[in-house]
Amino acid sequence: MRQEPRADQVAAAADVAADKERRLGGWLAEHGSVVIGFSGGVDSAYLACVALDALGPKHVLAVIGRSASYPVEQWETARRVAGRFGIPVREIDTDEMSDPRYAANPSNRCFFCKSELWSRVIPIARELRFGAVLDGTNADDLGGHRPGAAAGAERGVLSPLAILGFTKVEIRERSRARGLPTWEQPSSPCLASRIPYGTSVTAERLSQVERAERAVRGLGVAGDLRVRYHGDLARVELTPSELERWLAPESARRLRDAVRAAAGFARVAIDLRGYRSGSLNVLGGVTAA
Amino acid sequence: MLEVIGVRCKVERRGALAVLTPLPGDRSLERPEVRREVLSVLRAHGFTHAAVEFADDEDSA
Repeated sequence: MRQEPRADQVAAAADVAADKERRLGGWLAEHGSVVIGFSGGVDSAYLACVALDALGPKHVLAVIGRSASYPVEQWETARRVAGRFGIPVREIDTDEMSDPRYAANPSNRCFFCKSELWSRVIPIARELRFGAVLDGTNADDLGGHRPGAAAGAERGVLSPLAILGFTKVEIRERSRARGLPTWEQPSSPCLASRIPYGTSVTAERLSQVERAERAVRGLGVAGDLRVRYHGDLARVELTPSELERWLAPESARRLRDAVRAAAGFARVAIDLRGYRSGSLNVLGGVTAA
Repeated sequence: MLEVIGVRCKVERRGALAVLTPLPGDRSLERPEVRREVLSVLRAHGFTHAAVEFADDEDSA
């Protein structure tokens, strides 16, 4: 049985995270000025705020890359966080959809998406003479299947949160301590992660899953949520506590009807195991079950 | 294959995904211990994922 951590253990963990943040401030100061790939997610929002404190607004630029695979809600969060904390932002459009290597949706799809993003961000950093280009990759991300990271590495993009060993839990803890609204925000990877490898990524399919997820959220579902695309069937992944609630037939039918009406899926099914990061990597045989 | 553990449903194979449609009146999948057992049985049959669908014809059941 899992035991709750003792108060002294919690305090010690908080001290470790605070110490990492001090080191992060020093690391950023060494680089002088930074451009950050900014999605408005937990990691990049935290990184941008620490960078702003360490370097000041003239030496930080957060770049938001907009495309069909970037959820509108995430974009709104990114703008809201940047506005509230005074983070300088530039918004650019990216066009990974027009790259047939991306649209074909191979298991390294993220490589082509991130290649497109960085190919547009790095020239901005050069033009403005910023010292480094950063992303929000953290230490927990290093073990999984993340071909997008290779695109950044090839171009010299740095990941200070990973370099300094920040875990997701620590980033949430420090975000909470700083009053960042993103601290308890569910992870939100791009919408293409809902489409199985080998099934082509189209604007219509991305829109379908986005509309479906918004409809499920509209029912009051909290926590991590994914609607996975399986052609005519939408497979909904919920957190364990939500799963209990929505597997009752009357609730499940309400969820089904909402997804059908919003997104046009003929069939809707609720995943029995619930949300798991990289679910389609497992289904596609890219990672082990 | 699931009937032996007390779950009455149709099973549709979509690659490694099993789509389960409970027969009218079966609410066994609401119980977490049953879901764990179902997932275990399905894994043994090569499925990595399982999802439960509540079909239209259940509405009138």
